[in-house]
Amino acid sequence: MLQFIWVASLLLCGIAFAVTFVLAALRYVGDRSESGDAFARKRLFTALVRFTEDDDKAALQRVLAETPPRVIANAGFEFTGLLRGEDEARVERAFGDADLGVYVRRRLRKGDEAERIYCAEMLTAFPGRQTVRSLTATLDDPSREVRIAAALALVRLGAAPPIGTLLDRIGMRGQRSRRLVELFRALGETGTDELRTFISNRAGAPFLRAAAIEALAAVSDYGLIALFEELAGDPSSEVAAASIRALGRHGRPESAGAVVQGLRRADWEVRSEAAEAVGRLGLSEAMDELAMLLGDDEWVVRYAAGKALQDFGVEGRRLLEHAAAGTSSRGQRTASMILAEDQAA
Amino acid sequence: MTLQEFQPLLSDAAFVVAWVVVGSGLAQTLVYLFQLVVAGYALSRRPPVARSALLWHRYGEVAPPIALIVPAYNEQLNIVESVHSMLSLEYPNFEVIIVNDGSKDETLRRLIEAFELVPVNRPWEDSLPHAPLRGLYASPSTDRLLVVDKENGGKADAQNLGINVSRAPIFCVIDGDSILEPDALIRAAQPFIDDPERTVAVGGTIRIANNSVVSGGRIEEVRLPTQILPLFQVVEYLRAFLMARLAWSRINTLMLVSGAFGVFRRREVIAVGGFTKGSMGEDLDLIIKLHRHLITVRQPYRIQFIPEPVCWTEAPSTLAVLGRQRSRWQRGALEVFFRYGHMFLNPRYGRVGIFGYGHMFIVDVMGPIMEVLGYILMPLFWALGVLDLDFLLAFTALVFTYGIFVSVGSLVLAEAELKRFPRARDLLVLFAAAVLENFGYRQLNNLWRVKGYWQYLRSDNSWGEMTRTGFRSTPG
Repeated sequence: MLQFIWVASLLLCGIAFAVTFVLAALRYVGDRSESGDAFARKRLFTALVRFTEDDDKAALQRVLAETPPRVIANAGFEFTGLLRGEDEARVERAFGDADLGVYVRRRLRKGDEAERIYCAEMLTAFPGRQTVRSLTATLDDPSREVRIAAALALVRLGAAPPIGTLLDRIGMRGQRSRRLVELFRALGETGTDELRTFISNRAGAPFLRAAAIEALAAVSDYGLIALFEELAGDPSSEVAAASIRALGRHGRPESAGAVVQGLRRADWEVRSEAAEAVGRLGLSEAMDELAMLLGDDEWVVRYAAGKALQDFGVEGRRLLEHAAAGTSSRGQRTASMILAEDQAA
Repeated sequence: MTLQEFQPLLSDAAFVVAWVVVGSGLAQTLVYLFQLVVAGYALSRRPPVARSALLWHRYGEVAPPIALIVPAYNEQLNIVESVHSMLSLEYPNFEVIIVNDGSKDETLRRLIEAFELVPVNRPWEDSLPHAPLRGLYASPSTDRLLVVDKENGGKADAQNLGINVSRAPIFCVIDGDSILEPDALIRAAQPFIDDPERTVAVGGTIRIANNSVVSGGRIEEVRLPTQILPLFQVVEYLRAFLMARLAWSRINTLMLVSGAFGVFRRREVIAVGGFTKGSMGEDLDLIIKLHRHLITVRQPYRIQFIPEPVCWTEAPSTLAVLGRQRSRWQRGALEVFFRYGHMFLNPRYGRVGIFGYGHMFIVDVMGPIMEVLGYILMPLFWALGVLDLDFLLAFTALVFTYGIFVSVGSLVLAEAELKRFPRARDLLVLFAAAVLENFGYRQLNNLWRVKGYWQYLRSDNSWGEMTRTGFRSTPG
């Protein structure tokens, strides 16, 4: 027993020593290789800045040929992130001519998870059949983050499969991510019909339907208003709240009925969105209901109602003053605070 | 009874006590081994870490608004630099709320002067109890800063008022003397983006800034502390954050998100009554309340630790201040353990009751007592001739080398996760610290914790002065 304890102690001590020295050695080697990359990165940045000024493609190609592809992939795309429009397109074309797309597609298959995500994002700069094929294959990647990145890239390239298929391939766990809002936004104008069908399906996950409504709200298509009005009465609070928010954003007074109904919902998220939308749409007929909501159980609703009343000008202010002059209550406190903020402003 | 008759009885007692101490040490050893293995696994399975430059591009559009709540009590030394650092964070939608908790020094005046603050009115929800508010101040030059001036009520009280005044669905609490890395907030927000329905709290890594160079409210050059006490604390923090919290987070049993840097969903925190006023361990208390509430209402949830968001803080560099801090932490742990004692090994609370509370019992409740008992009784029994010297030495060596082994394990995790120690030789210095801490520092720490035990039993709730020397700044 005693011998065992001593051997175990010595073993633990030896392992700790060895591991520390290996760590330090690895770090030393890593630092040296990073300093080489840093030099290449600096040279590349200089060449890219010069290229955006003088458009000397040959000079840039020379530097690209001498720079390791991993440095171009990392530093080069950070640089293009700072550019917009024609400048960005010119640099990306230069990268394409240097066969960087081939390197990025290979890393999309073989890199670690973080690299695969980054490669999927980068591939939007190299449109083409091979890129679409690589990204479509990546929809089966074991990592849901990589699958989401590939789906986003495909949508941005206008080459995504139908939304249902896309979501199936992303998988259930990935479908909880707020990044899907981005995916739906990217579908934007081109995928309006698909998104319309998607949000109408009551069997769909409320979080996803709400995210799709949020994306559609940014599309200026007044044909969507009737659908939002219908969905404002959806049993899911998330879907109803998102629809009412969308109606508020579109600013069409004919949505008044659906929005005012929202003020009476049991879910606070819906009441809050409805109060805000009433203010945006200028629905003066709902002012008394807003005044009632100053005493709502939920602060978010009380505040939204108060701010909406403030938006109505003199008449709204009169209702706020009346509530503020009343006996001490939630409504009285909310109204007083909103008036005080207004005075200070 | 003669000494000869007494000897067998003493020998039996020594045997039992020795095995209780050894058993407790063994349980702690198993806990650390478990943490090391699970942390290693968590590391291999963690979500991919993107470079800072990509985060904004990737998450900027969908990142939720966050309120940064900073309780400040007598923080005149660092507060202006800290606020500058917070205002320059790389996050699309955030507000900094400084809560001046009735400071006796010039904290408020310095803020008013530095940011040209003016009194404002702003509607806010009075949902959590707090000491009276004296005023709200905003800066005409930025709409991202709000200063709340209130009467003194303690850290938890200040945080509660900050939560009341905040409007964002998510808030982040940090200490007034801390510095967040520019990308810390967007990294900490990642779980709220990836799993917005279930994520209720996220903790990041706290690192020690003593001797690092600070400029413009940012860490400009990372350096290891030159003083021995902060250096030992660097090793301790590596074990606590990059090993223990990563492991417990992996199995959704994280019992502590540090009050020095934690991100929370406002609604759930209000539902549990916010931070408990007067608590010595208000951060631990909040997390346990969240677990209890969410398990009771059967709401699926995640409380996570992610290593990449980093917050820098100044560690105590004198024995007196460090001792007070450790005693206070111990009191906090005991207070919370016994306040929610019904959760201990209660299957109704699942993993939290069994593993989380079991871990607290072994490490926080039994740990210091058993270790100090071991230090006192083992040599005593040896002196009385009832314990074999060879066994005593071998066991002591095993305890120490195992401690070093665990610390080196944390160093491996730190290299794999963060790689923030700038030079290879820093790793060797940390290894030396991991060895040296076993000779004196570890024992002192346990003594301070036992002192905390004593203060807890005497219901001594004094907080103790936390003297700061300020960060090292670049000249000019």
